[in-house]
Amino acid sequence: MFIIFVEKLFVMVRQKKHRLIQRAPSFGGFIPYGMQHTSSGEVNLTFEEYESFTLCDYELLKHEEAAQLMGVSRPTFTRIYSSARKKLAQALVEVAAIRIGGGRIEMATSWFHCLDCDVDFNSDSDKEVRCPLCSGGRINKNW
Amino acid sequence: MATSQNSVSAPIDMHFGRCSWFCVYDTGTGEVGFVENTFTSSNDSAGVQVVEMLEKLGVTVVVAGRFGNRVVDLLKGKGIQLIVVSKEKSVEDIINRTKQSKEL
Repeated sequence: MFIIFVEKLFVMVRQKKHRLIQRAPSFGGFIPYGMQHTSSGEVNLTFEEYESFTLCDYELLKHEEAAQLMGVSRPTFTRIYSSARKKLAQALVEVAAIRIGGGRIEMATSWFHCLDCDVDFNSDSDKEVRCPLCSGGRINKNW
Repeated sequence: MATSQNSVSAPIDMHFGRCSWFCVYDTGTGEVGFVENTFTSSNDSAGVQVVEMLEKLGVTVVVAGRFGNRVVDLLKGKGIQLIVVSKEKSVEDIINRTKQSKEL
């Protein structure tokens, strides 16, 4: 009986699908302003939660469209999104810092940075990437 | 290039789709033109409509401070190159950079 139970547990553990995001935020998070006392904590917002919040509340997409862009089902998207809102509300009410990072993500677009022009651009190939502005080769890959 | 005014000294607009003007620069002839963005007031999918308009003009590279996710998806599908400007840069700066590289 016990062996069967253990087996079942193994089957239940499922690898989570990676969520697609277009661009990672270029900053690490937020800290509360004008606090009288030391911070009451920190909230960790994952990249996929940040992305879901951007898609819904900044770009005003419907959950279904946003889910498609992130490569997840609509219910999964809604779950990520509500978790994001919950965390943001907690941070605002409890005066906690927001740290953005972590999560299971994959970049939908590869971004590169030209050191000479100081601009970012996308490219599909990883080989011989050249800056579209100066055609220079001093390029950094932004993950 | 997404801009806020119809002048080459204007900064690149931080949001593609919601900017007031587009500066169209022909890298071959060096001609500069401005197109007004008539979709700024549409509630959603302003970017998508803009992409259609720019595609008709034969644009192959777009420059802006930020692109919507749907727009990134769309432009990538059409094989249009995206350039994201992080710090304040004017239209002139971008044009000069492309000119310089041609002279080299």
